[in-house]
Amino acid sequence: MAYDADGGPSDEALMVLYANGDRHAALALTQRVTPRVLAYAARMLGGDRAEAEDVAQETLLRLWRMAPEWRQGEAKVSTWAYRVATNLCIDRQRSRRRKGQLSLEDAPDLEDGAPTADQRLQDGRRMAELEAALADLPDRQRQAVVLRHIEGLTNPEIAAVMEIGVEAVESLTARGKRSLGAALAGRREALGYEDGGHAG
Amino acid sequence: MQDKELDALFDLAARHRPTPSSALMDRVLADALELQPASQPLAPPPMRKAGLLSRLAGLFGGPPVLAGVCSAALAGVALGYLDPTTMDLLTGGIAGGLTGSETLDLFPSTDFLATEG
Repeated sequence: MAYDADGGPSDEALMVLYANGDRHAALALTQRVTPRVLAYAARMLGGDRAEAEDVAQETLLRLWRMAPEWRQGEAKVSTWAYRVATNLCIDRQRSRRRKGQLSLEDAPDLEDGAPTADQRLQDGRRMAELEAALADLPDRQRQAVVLRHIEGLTNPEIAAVMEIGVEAVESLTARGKRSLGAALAGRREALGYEDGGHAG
Repeated sequence: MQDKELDALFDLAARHRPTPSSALMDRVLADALELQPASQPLAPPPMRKAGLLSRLAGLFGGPPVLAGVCSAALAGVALGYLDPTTMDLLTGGIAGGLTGSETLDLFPSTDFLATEG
């Protein structure tokens, strides 16, 4: 049986166990895959949590349905899930364009890591600005930037998710990052950055 | 915007990942259990149809018994129908190197067994 770095069975091994009726595998996969997909979908959907939850549930639903045909070694579960979630996010964005400029009320709740109320407020504002800027990127650039810089995937992993070459991934992430930098340059004050330094 | 500021924003986003609500986890797990294929018990290997030889061996109590019976039958046929003169084939093989007046009587007191009728 294949094992993950943390010593547990790999996602792919859990898929086989799930398809064989192992209820513990169902629970383990739910706990592993759902947070990843939810976080990714939230970034892709400009922080819309309700939509992101729908995308996460639908992605996992498709995973369960295709479990009996799952073949170990053909694909990684995470790659497959990111790919399906991407398609669902893009479909939703096309069916309803963004609801408008995000306001502070749309900023995600920051439950930890922000010691003071001011810090929490500023982190929330920064997250809202980042998500708004991400939402303005072309779909492929946003996908590449989120997977590389927020989800922490490697370029070959992103290439597998996006079904493109590694060089194309590098180009997308570079262009996406440049566009983000340009978009946020005019929002330095809102982000809490002072000219020539970091205020927060 | 400087690269390090952008990287700090990415780092902030990576640290503050939205966590799934327990309601979402419950819904996903409910889907998983509803769609999970039923556990299949291990099936015994399919029975092969027994061949003629296997069924014959079964009548005698198994292949080893059948082999013993066949060997005994062949030995009986050989002893019953072989011409006694052909016994030389056996004795000649053993005593072929003997010459002159040297004789080898393998069955000194069993001549009566070589007579038929």
